[in-house]
Amino acid sequence: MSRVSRPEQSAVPVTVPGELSTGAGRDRSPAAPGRAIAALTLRLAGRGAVLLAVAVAVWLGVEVASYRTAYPDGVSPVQFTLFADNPAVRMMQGVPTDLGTAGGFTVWDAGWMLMLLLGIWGALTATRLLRGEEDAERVDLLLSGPIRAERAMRIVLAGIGGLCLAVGLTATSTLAVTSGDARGAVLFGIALGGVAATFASVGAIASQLVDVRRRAVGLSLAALGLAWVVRMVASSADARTWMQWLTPLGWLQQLRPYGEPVYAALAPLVIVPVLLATLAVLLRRRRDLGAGIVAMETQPRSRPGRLSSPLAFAWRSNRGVLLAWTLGLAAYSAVFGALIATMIDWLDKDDQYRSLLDSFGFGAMLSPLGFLAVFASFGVLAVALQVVWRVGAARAEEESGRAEVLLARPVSRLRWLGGHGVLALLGGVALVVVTGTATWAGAVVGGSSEITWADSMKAVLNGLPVVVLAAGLAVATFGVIPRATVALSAVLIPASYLLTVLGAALRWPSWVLDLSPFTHLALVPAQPWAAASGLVITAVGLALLVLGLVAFDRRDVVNT
Amino acid sequence: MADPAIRTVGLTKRFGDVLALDHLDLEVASGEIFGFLGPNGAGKSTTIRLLLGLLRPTGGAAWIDGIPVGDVQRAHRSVSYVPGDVSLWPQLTGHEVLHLLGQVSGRVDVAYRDELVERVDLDLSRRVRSYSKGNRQKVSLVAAFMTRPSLLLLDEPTVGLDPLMQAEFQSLVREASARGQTVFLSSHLLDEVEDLCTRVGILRSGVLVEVTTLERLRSMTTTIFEATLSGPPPPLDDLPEVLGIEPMTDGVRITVSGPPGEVVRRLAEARLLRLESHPPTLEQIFLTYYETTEAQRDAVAAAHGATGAGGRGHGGAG
Repeated sequence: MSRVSRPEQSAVPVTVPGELSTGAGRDRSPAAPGRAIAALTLRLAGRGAVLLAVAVAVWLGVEVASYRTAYPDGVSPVQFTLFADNPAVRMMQGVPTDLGTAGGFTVWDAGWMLMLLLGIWGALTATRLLRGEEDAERVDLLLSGPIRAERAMRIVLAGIGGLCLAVGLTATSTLAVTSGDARGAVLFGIALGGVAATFASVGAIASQLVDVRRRAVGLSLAALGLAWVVRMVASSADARTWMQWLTPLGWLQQLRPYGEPVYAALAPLVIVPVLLATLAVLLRRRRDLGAGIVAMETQPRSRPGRLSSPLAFAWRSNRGVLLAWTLGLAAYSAVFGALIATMIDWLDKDDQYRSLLDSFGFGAMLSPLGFLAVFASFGVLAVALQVVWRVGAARAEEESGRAEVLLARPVSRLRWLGGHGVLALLGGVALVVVTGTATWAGAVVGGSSEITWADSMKAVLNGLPVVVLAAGLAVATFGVIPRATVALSAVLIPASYLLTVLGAALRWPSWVLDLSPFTHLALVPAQPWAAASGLVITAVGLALLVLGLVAFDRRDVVNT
Repeated sequence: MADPAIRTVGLTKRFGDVLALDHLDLEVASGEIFGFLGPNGAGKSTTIRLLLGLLRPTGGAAWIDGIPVGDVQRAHRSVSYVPGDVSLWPQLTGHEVLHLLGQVSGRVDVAYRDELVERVDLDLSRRVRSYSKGNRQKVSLVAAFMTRPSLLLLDEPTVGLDPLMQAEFQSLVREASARGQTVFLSSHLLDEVEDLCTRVGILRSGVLVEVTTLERLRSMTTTIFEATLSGPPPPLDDLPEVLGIEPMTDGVRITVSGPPGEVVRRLAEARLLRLESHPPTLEQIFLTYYETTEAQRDAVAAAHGATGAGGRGHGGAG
């Protein structure tokens, strides 16, 4: 404490309020608050954007390299029809076009997943900065400065938009270097950035409508899910491709960066994010800080009976999220189930084509049951992610310090975390049953009478070991590296799914494919259940679960 | 005369069915330290957030230095805010937070900032994540004072500070006031307000019950007399200033509001052995406003020729 001095004695001239507005000699300009908020936005979202950009660049590099290895002479016409007419592939990846070049193949093969990834990132980032920061009451401090809330929001939105574009341009530069077609790379990059910005704007609107970030994320992801379903329907038959205009996830397909580009498709990619962001700012004007446009329950009822144990409390805290996932997955599965008959009818008309596929060994995938099996694995991926998020709720409880309140009472750590783990697993099983039932119901309504409820259930229950593995992985991460609970599992599980899907198409060595649990699942019900694999995966999942419980019991409770 | 630092007219805020603030009429003069008292949930934070334009009023209006609070670009040019429950960005260091908030305010008195950091004994090199609640509070106090604002809106600012730091905070507020800065200090810590403020407002369930100087408040409110008597206690029920009488072992405890002359005269006639009086702490004053009814206060006021003791909004720069 060497230079404690009273302000009257300090070198700074004594200031009276009247002089403050001119403030000679101090750092002061009208642009300063805006610049500070822009810098903060980049600080809060920049690291995620850089990680995403690196992932996108590596992914695209690997895609192009794999394409060159697998198809040195380009995709042959036979292979092209194989992709184009496989309903599962079409609906998942989109209608294949322009596969003759490495760039075109990459856009088709990786574009759909990258769009989903960037869309989710955009929505999560926007809701975090525009609602999460407000939930934490950090925005209050910023808005007590001389800056209007709408202007601060425009700056944050511009920052997120800039990051979206930057991630898109990373894709552009990677593809331009590796595939050697600058125009296609630029168009693809703009499309990726535009999709990310669109869902960031959707997240911004959701952040104005509802008053907790969790709800805003739910709304945004529901919008993304809807966009994905529309895209699937649009890709299911050539007659329906016009529907791609209706979904942000379809604009890339219309743009055709590596074919004959349809430049009109650039318009929605640029205009829609800006329009939606403008709408979000207009909505901001109509609400108080911390409030949502849609008033949530104003008169909460106390229901202490449902708080009789930590388990009951954990269930109550998350049943809303589970219900949302249930409805979303049920709708998605039903739509998919209803489309099976259409796809199969369409394939049945071409005997020659069917025999061709049989000779390639792909026949199983083109039967209704094979189709069901392929789709079920995608549903299982979604359920596994939900389970990870559910375990992430335990981490959120710990991080916020709320877990301490319970653990300071006679509640053992094993009981607390075990309760969360059990609920995660039960929720996963419930979602699997819902997915199976909804697919079957959709299939029956859509005319696939040969699919029984038992078939549909077998298809999804086949993936249950992966759900157990996901729960175990998340709990183990929670026990060992708490801050990575969601991040690690939410990256590893989709990555292993991609490994199975992409690796097979790109003819990666089998030992690489074997790293993914999805590789070990048989195509049930088209193939018999691979009992040994299923049991081993389940056992590994349970072992990880126990490991996580033990590790949590031994480590500190970390509330930061 | 210059515009008051804060002025509100009929300021009202309703959250759904809940009336959080009901027709607040208030003026705080430039350079004043104004205490804003009330229990939890009385509407103190709501008032401050309305003054900051963070909430839109359901009715009425408010001005800071004559500028409507909705015009935040002008109104916030010389305003600092310290929230009661400070939330900062966990991944930033203390230094980065100060830089950020200084940039947002648009100007920082760097020398004064460094002095403040030393006075509150803050290590700025650490991340907010590792700060205790008290340290986060210190960061937000430094951030508020370092811009030398003309108006400081402080919402229960000493929650989480140790007594030494509370004392340091009080001297910071006094120095600010001496320089002509206005301080609006919301608190339920009565000691804090008692030591600092010249005027206080008392808020209860969203209604401003009273605005007055501390001096006047003290003179108008209760004193407790403990009289040891060798005879039976005198009749006191008929005196309007007597709010309560409790028997003690050797005498009587009397709660008196207003001048106690007549009470003391009657006690003296009743063979008084010992008389102790407790000057009212703000705590007692405060409780008086909760425990006594408006009718009682009006009766007291009428008996002593005062006006509007129970009314709201004395307003005006005292």
